[in-house]
Amino acid sequence: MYRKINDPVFGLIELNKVESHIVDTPIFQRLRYIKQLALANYIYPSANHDRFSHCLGVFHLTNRICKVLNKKNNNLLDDFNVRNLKMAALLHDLGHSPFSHALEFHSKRDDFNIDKFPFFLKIPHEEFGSYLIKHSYIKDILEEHNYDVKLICNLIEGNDIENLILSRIINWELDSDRLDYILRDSFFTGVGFGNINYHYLLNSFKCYKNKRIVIDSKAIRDIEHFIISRFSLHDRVYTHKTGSYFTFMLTYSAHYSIINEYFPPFRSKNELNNIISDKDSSKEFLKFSDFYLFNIIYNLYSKFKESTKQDNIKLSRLIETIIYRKKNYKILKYSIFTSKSESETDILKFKIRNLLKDLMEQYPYEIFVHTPKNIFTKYLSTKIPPSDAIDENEEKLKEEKERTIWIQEKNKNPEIFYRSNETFFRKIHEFGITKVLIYLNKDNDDLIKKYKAIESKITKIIFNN
Amino acid sequence: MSVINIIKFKKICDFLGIETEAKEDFTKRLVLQKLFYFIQKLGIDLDIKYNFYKYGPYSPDLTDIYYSVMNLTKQEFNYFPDITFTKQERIIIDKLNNIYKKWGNDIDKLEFYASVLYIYKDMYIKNTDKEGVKKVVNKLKPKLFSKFNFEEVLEELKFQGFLNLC
Repeated sequence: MYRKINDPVFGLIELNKVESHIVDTPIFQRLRYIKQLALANYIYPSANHDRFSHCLGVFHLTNRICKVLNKKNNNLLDDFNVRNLKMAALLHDLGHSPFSHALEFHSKRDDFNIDKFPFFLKIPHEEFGSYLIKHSYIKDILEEHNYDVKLICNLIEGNDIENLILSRIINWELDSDRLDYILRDSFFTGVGFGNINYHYLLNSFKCYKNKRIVIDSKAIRDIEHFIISRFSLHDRVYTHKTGSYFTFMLTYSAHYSIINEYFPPFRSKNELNNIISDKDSSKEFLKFSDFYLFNIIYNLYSKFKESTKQDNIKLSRLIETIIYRKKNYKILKYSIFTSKSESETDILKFKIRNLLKDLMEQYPYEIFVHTPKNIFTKYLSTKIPPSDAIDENEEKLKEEKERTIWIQEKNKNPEIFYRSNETFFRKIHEFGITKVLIYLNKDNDDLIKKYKAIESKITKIIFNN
Repeated sequence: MSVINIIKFKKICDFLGIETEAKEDFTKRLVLQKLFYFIQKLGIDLDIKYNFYKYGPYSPDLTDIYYSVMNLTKQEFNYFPDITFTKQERIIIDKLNNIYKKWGNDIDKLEFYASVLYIYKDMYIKNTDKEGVKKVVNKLKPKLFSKFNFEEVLEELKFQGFLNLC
């Protein structure tokens, strides 16, 4: 082993020479300057951990999972596959934008025009990560040491691989990515939900007929604990009422900076490719990070504060919320435990925006609608496919009700986790929290009065649907 | 998924006339899955991610959107802006309609065509030449592989504009 890194969550993380070399590249080092949880530190002051340590954690867990599976299944994954999978785990977040997911939400919002965005801000971070690997010197390093760049990029993007087991380890409901962030985010925020016995859980992983990962049914309570932890973290940290408010204002400020070309400092494919082509020039890529964007936003605030234009004054007020952690807006939260899906929430949000359309036109930058992502949705997952049916006789097995977690009792066929008679998830797997957050300029009494006049229509949409 | 894409989804379903049938019929929902896989491959990007399942390419998001749209009343649907397809998009939708008429009655055929296309275009496999693809198709879809002629399927996919094969 070439290098050992101390990690507060996992202890020592071991890297070989090539992995260490990749970690030392400026493109990877940039992840030190991207906070894992954006502005969650405004609520949980110690939540300052970064994507860098998260990537190392995912890498470490991936290695553990491969060892467990190989031990139980007679070297199921050969050295070639394990090396590439570990590298994919290490590089899986390479393409993250500043403040992590805060900027990524742009492309999903109907009210944000992203035509002027550079291409890398219009695509998912996984796709951008793949792009960086293929067009930078990282590709040369990997190929020189006999890594399969195409395989690594496909694993990162969540595409299916001929060997389905391989893709499941970092793209699954209980994958190394989710496990790490639940443990890490819980630790650094201090909320305590993620105190999972991950050693026991990982050691319960096994393979069924060399086709898919299943979990020993003895770990059923640990699976429940994992899902509840994820749900709790989602509610208390990722979609925290006030945390979401700051993230939303950051997204808005960033959007303004991007469409007016203040950020990022490079925009075209040519510019980007020139920067990432070699180690020296790629130091410029460090500017695509939290501190640089924050600095741009701060400069905008300084400029707008002195302006006499109404829109600029309002913008400065909006930006002020994140510069000085100020609650310039009244935050109204409506949430309900329901069986609404992602699309139903999108439609609900659209209906609410329609209702508030006139107010939003009359008071630009003073009223916003925000619906954070659901958790506990019908599939308990948003990007990963459910496992295939294992019982070949179940021809009419409805795929849309499949779950991704399968458990197996000794000498029996695997079954879908939530179908087990032993778990309370039998009753609640199709439910989750739908949240709607409305932000109103708290100094505008006229706006608040007008909003109150239509609030009952909004609550009817949310609670009666 | 953006609301614009949800509306496009509904309009395409209306045009094909398959929306209400699929509500109670699992097989029809599978048809829906494959048709929307094809339409994205033909060039209308609805931001729906597919992966490989027991019945070939499948998207849980698509089923989610389908049921969301089905639960909307006509009055509620009037909330949404009217979307007009571009000329190119209309050509693609017409093409899809023809594919539906040609293959839509045979779910096995649809599944096999979609699976071959997926394995060729969207799955990472080591050997991406025709023999490499054939081997993986046989491995993942053995029953359908013996039912249909792989070469003919490739030709048909090429004819429909999905593949450019040597």
